[in-house]
Amino acid sequence: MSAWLHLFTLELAVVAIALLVLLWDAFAPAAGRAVGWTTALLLGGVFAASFFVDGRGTVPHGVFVRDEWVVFHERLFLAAGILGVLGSIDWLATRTPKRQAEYYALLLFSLAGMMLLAGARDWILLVTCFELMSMPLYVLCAYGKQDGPASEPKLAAEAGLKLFITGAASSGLTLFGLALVVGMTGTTHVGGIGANPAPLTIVGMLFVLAGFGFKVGAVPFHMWVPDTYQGAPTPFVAFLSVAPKAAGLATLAIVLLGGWSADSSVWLPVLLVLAGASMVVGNLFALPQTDARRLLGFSGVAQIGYALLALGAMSRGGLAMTLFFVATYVFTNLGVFFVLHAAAEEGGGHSLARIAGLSRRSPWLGGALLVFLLSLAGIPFVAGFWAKLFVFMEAWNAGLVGLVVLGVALAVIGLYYYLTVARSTYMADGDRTTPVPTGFALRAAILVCLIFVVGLGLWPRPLVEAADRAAAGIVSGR
Amino acid sequence: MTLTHCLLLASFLFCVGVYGLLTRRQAVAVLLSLELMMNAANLAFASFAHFKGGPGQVFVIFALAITVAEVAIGLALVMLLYRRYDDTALDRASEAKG
Amino acid sequence: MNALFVLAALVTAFAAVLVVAGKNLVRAVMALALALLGTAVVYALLDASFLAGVQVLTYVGGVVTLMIFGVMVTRRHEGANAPAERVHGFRGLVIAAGLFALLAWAVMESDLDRGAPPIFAPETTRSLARSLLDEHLIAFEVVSLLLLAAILGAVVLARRRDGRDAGSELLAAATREAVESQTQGEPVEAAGSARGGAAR
Repeated sequence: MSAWLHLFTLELAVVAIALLVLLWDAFAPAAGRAVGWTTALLLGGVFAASFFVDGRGTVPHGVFVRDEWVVFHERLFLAAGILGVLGSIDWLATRTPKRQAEYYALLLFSLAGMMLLAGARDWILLVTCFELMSMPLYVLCAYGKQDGPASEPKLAAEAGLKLFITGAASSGLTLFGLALVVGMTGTTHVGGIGANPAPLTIVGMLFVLAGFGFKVGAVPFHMWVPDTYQGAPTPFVAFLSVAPKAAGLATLAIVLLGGWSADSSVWLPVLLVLAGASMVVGNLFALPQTDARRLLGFSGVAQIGYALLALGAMSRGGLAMTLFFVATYVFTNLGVFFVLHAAAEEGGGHSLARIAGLSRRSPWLGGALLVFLLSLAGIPFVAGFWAKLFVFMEAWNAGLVGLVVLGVALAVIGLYYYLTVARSTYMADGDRTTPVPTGFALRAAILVCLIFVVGLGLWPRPLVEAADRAAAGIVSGR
Repeated sequence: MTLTHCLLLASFLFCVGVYGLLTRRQAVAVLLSLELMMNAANLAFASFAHFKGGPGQVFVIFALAITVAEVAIGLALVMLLYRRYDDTALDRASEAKG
Repeated sequence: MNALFVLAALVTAFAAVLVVAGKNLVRAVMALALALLGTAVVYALLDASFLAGVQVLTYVGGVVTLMIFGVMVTRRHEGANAPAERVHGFRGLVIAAGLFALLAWAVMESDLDRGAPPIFAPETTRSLARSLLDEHLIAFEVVSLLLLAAILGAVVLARRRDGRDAGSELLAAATREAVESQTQGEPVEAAGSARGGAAR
């Protein structure tokens, strides 16, 4: 076989698991939790294997490069995938017991798309991987809660269609922009534009940037985020809110810092405006929200703003801190959504009143939620603190003083609404007093997130170093 | 027939698609507008390939595959929405507000 | 050749406007088919004969048919002459016109038609196939996964929870249409019985 097939070992393993799950369901349908646990354990095996499989190299024509950057992202996406599967097991087994295999298979296809995306250095491969990632998400978003309250299936279908229309429109925008860029440069390689780009090339670059802006949910392309978060099933939203965002940011890094770094005069002002607007709009619109998932949607928009800010520093350190920020965000946000899911699963929706008094009913869950919220707000010494601190430091060093001051001020506002939520879990009295029932898989997922958030808060160095090595794959030099 | 003419046509198709995307509220009509946008991108690829050389046509093949997959998912979602709402107008499909 | 291009371009542009401006969804789909056919003609003029063929086969043959099914299945009470619901019409027009102005300006300013003819050999169907299975082999494989995921996703979405699949639903819808069009006098009752029959 080819000399480069081993570069795709992990991706092929993920696809193989997806096919295995589908075949298992086709020939021996199992209604229990077995499918989910098998998927999670096999994915765990792939994650473990990622430390032993170390094929590095380039595919002929340079369309795919596997380096530290790809290894970092593969592990990050695999971790998010494992946690996403773990968090869904109990929900799927009780709500849609007959349609579990398809859910896991689609999630795994999306995961394979993300993992391939990180190494793509060719526009065609980049676009197809991006679609492989996005397409299953549209379907999972509309995954029915068959016997929930009447409004739930409607909301899920609506959320799916909204995500689809946004995603397809941004794909169209990206494709049209790429037609202009690829046509003007004459190559599909993600690379430099050349000196003095023609107006048409610049317009094409801006279209591409706008298309990816949609995907990561940056202002002004963010309107789908809160609607989708509110409507889609919560365990899936947990995955949706982290992994595709991380993949979108990785794509932006590959394109902007890797390919178009010499043309930063075209895109850097736009990127910084997107970053600033995302921070402002995300934080301010989160304030009046009463639905926990809408609040987290706007908070997610704000967090994307911080990540874009670090990207805008245009240095290896800045990119490394983007990665660190995204990695901590993955574990933190997964954790928050899982706790919310646990609290809401008895029925009654996700309004903030629903989690009042949570810590008295289940001290363990309440404590976990508090840690996650502190991490999102950036309080020492949980993971989110270092993430925000490093991002602001890198942006400051790059001379983005104004945006850093703005970001710090908005982080204080963020503190207010995160702590409002935390306060209600501790101070307010809920209408129930019995402990919240949680399944074993969901508890395990929350525990893993908790370990990472606390562990990274106390000892961020290994992840920082890994992120720095990974960033070297895109930005050489300091 | 020059590259300028072809690109103007492609741009026009794209903007008509954007207009439809922004103003139509029937889900199927939105899908039609998306098709127009994709078609415009493909036309631009093919025009560049003819007048300037380069890999435009390969890209169109992949874009076609992506579009077909999107149509399949999109129509399935529209049918799902229709079944749950008995209507496909996006205005009615807006219980999420805030 | 130039005259043919002008004709094809005008037809395509006109059909595109009909797609978004029409009052009737079926006519909008037909206009889309016309626009796609016009584009296929332009492809042929651009020496992209393979693309022209694919365009006719997959788009006009496949996608448009799917769209018609989509309209039929979801059209029960909207009727053939449902009003074209439209919101933010003016805002949409301003955005689209602004976008077109920007693109047209960029196209005009970029001085595209000057300079040497293509440096590369023109793409033939043979060279297309070569690059598809050589340079872009990985993307080709990814697309196969993508289509598998799309099929799986469409089936998951369209299958009903009571086990009825999309096929029987399409059949039921087609039956309903046929019955309604034949029995103009008592459409409601006839459609109801057709639906009831399909559900069993």
